[in-house]
Amino acid sequence: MITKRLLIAITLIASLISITVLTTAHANNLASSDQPEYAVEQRPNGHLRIRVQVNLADRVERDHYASRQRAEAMALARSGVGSVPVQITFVRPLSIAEMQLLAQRTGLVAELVIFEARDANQGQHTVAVGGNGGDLVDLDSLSPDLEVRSLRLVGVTAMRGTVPASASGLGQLASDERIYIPDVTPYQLAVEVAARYGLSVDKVQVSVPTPHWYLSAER
Amino acid sequence: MHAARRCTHLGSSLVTVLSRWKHRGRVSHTASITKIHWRLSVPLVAVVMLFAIVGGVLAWDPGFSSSPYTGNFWLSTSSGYQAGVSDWIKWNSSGLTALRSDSDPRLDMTADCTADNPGDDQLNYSVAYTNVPNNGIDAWSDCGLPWVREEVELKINAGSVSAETAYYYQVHYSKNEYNVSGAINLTYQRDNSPTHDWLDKVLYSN
Repeated sequence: MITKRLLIAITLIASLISITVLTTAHANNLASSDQPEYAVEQRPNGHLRIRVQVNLADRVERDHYASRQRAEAMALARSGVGSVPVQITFVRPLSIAEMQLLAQRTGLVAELVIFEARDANQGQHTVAVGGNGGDLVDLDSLSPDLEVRSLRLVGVTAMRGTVPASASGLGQLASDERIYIPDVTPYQLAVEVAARYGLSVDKVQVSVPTPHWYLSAER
Repeated sequence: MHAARRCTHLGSSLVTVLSRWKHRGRVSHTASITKIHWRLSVPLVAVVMLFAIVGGVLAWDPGFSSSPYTGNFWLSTSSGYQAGVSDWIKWNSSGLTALRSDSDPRLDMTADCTADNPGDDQLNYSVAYTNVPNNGIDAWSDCGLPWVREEVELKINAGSVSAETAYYYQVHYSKNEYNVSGAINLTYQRDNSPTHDWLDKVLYSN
């Protein structure tokens, strides 16, 4: 009799534990599918830095992230919230002329432009240039340092800037086949975290990784 | 810094214990009690000292094995810009293992002013050159004018880094002011922590 009760009790407890574990796992899966993992750092000047983590080494996860960002960008383009921060990773390196045309058509303003460069042995390098308004970058100023390291600019592989959240702005970027990831996480997280911490959005800085190195290496 | 604080704390704890032991000896009224106290205190002090030494060693263990070795860090100056150039950045095999265990390792080059090192908006990020495999670059504004960016973080792509390969990381800043002096720091940042491992620092004078 006692053994039977003991068995029932053990079975009940095991069932409860299983249900709890499964529910937690399901909740975690739901959470991770909604938003990438990120860490928040509070700076001494009161600003927040958010560092987003995405497993870019895993091609499946990378492609999944890219698809989700494209959908998010399309949705944000319909919102008409004004100018929003965006980080773009290109499928292949774009020439300066292509970049300028894209910027003109969409209203994209560059803050940081990342170039792939190659040395004489085809070694891979990165040149990250602060935005220069309408002309995107001042290439003439780069020449001396490129020569010192025998570097040749291949093209623009990624960039960060702002774009109007409209059909002709962000919507056009999100539907451009040359763009791999139109990442709008910087906007979404800044708004969400600023509200949670009671800060203005301009005091929240968001860092999102770009897989530009992997894409260049895999080409 | 944190390790130093921990070690200081251990040091002050040891001083407190020794001070109490000394005080206890003074208030003993008989030679026998003092003798017993002495006999008890010797192993106690020995144990405390052993703990302090072990704790101190652990506290001082720098744990910087994931930091790159920086062979050379120097400045390049022209009339219009100030550049910090770090050459011969290398990871050995154990350093690379540690690097890959970090969730978000970064190389950080910072010119004053920042909240950590307040100064003035003397220098502003212009361009970075590197062959360190990376997941992009962040240029942060940390104090002063919001559009002046002095902290430049390279997001290291640890999976693509090779052991014993010499890398470089070079950041150019445009000058906002002349006839001023300051410093450019190179640090390694681990695991999303605000704690930086200081690698090198160079002073400049325009």
